[in-house]
Amino acid sequence: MAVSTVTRRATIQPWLSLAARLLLAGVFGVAGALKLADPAAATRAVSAYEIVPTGAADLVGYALPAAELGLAVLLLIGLAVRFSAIVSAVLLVMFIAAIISAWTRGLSIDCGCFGGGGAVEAGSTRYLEEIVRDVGLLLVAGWLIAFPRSPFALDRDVQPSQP
Amino acid sequence: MARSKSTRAPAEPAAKRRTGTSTGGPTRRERVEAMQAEQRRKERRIRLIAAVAVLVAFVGVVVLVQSQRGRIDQTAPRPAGVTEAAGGIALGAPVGSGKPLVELYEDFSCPHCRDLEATIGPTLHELIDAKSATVMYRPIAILGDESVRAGAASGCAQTGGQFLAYHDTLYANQPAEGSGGFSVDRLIEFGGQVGLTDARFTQCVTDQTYRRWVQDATVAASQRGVHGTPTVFVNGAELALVPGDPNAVTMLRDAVAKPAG
Repeated sequence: MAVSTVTRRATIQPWLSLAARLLLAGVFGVAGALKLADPAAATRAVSAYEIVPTGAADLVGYALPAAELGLAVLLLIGLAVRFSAIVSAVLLVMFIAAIISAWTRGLSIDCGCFGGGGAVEAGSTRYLEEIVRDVGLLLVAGWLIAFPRSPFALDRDVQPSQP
Repeated sequence: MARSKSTRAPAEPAAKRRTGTSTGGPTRRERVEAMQAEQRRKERRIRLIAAVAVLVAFVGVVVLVQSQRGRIDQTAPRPAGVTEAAGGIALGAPVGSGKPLVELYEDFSCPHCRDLEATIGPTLHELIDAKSATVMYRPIAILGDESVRAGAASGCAQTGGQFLAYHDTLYANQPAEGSGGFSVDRLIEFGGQVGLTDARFTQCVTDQTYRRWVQDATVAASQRGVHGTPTVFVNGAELALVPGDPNAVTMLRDAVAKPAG
């Protein structure tokens, strides 16, 4: 057994996981905060997908940014990292599905991922770009689900140290 | 730092292996390890519950706060002649006169709204002057705060009796999108160009008296399914007009001429 390879992976993995946590926390934090600042825009962005009815669009428009921001905080402090990563992945899969759905139905909208959203000109949609970005983030979340252990996390600090 | 190596691999497998080779029951050390493993599992569960609770509580509080913010304020100040909260500014034939109703959702900062104004503006003026239709202007703000300021100022112009002239002046002086060009000072200046020089108008623009009216109109528009500007409705049916398309004028005239269904 190649001990050195295992050790090297064991050394690098926590730092990669830390980077994954910070990246997801940053993206979700910015996305959540920008949307929270303008709830009307957030609900408009949701209803532009024409997936959920108007009343529900309001609820999604209010709840989604909060969930994003909450996830960002959990990831940042490293509390329940695997759980947070799973929720992140579920959200990202939903986002990707919604964008693909809008694309295939021929809607011309902005994804509203970082605030804004709503209808845009027919030629200026960025569906592929948005999907590629979300798939990338999904891979990062996947890594974190597989390897949640990382430094500077509450998950570790409350653990009793082993003699 | 001699921490446990992984949260994912509790100590049991190792303990079991050793139990298999030992003759008696678990040793003291094994029992301690098992207890510690149990302790870690417990802590992990507590952390998970704490995380879920924090997340759910946070989402709940935010939804409550935001839904309060997103509610249409029935008591917010409205420009003269606006009969309901978040209502539009009706020109031409009076509302309820049985004449066709043209509604125009627009954002003074939106370049396409300016383009559509250039295309169908003269036709709308005609309809208003002839009182052959009710033209309801619905300023909303989807491009940030300068849209809110401009929309609120247009309400001040309506109260001052110069809505249409002010409306056209705003488009004629539309700043680059997102440049912050619709400042309070500029908006007051534009008023001066259409004879709105009194202190009342200046005060109204400065205080952004109709700020909430514009924000509420934006929420109401969204609830109606208006996701972008410009959006035109004729007798309640959306009319897909392309800014700059000469056919837009014909389409609008046809829709207005058609008997209301």
